[in-house]
Amino acid sequence: MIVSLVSSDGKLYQVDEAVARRSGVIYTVLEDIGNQKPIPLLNVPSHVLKQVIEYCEYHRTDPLPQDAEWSGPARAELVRRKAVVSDWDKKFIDCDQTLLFEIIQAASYLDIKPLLDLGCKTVANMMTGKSVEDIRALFHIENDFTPEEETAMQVERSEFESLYNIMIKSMAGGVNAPVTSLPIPGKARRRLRAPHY
Amino acid sequence: MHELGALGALPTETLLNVFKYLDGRDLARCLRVCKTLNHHIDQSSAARYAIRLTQHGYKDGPRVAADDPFPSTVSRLNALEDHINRWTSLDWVEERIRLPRKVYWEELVGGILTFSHRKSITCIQLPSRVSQYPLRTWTHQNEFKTFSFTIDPSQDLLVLVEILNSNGTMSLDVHLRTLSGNTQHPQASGILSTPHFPAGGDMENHFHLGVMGNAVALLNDDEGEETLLIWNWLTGELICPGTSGKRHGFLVDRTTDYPHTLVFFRGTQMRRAGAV
Repeated sequence: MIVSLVSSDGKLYQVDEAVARRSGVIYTVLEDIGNQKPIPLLNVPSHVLKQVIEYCEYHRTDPLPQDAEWSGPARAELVRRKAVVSDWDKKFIDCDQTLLFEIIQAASYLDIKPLLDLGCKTVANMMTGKSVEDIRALFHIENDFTPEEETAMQVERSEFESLYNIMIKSMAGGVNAPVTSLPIPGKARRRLRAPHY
Repeated sequence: MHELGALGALPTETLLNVFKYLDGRDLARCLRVCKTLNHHIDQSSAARYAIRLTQHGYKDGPRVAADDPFPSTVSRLNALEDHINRWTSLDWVEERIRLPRKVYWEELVGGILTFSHRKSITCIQLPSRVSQYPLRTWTHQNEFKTFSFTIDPSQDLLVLVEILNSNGTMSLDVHLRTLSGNTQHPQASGILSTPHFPAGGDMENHFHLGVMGNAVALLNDDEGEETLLIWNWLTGELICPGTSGKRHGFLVDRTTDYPHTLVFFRGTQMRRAGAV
């Protein structure tokens, strides 16, 4: 069976029903209305729809994914696995940022979960290990924090970093100083000053 | 230009979808990029939970299907915040627990306090607000006097050492039982037996026993003559068959990040053996 899809700029695409059904939205339309009339996709321009159809053609026989958990071990697993993307998918999603975001928007609008996840993984990979300035430059984001807000965040951060470094060093056996002379983060130090037994 | 730059093209729920592929350190950096991103991360309890875990060196515990005390990320985040606040302000929860008798030798691992008295082993699961464990006490009776023991609650493992004396020589049997039921541990190959030691000496003060992953280690210092034995308790194989020398020592690292590390000391030198 062939389904007709119409992009937002009026171009007609004819695809196999199995391919079109990868989209949750089109699946529902086909169940409700059938495939007699072309389905208008008002939010998807032709240059994006072409890409989405290519993806769905390639993945037409994949099993439909289960919902992944938000956190817990499943989350840790997600973080580890984000770099694991098949070669075909990697090549497919390797495009300029504007098209990448348009594909993600279309995947979200058409409810194609694996494509949406591929897009989100790709954006997450772009952000991984990057400095704050790098992330701003990457997405053309303006720093709208006031200097006071920046200082406040810096202080909070250095407290955690020093605590973290002490933990790492002491685990590696690198700290020879007695425990009492280790710097204590400000918040805890303030509270330590007035013990009440 | 949108205040989120190019990221502004993504709907909020898609942005949340991106966050779930980022670890706590990356998310903490994203907090400082701009106010809008900061706000979105702040609104996501999953992202905040990941950041807090990383900042304080914790790992998320497993999710149990039935009667999980913290089924949602929000409840886990709240429990973690409460836990962190109590540590930073040293605001202890005091609970007095009566011990049945004067303890002879004890272990505290994974919230389970265990001590031995002659032929009995008593375990006390300390109550935990974060893990929602109730106070629970149980006692095992054995057919022999416990010379030494150690526990690993993560593997439901109780390691008991029995002394066997015969004709002026002595050997040890290492029993591998379940901590919960004192039956033979289903994964254990059987009882581990040591070679003969000369009898006598002040063994009680010069004896160390440790368990780590699939390794059980035993160190005996008899008048300066030391024996270090390490077994794979799953197979019964002796990995380290009796090093002889002086001034050994070992520590077992129980932190979750280094689950297979045994640290050996020899004089002032330290050797780290990985993945035993």
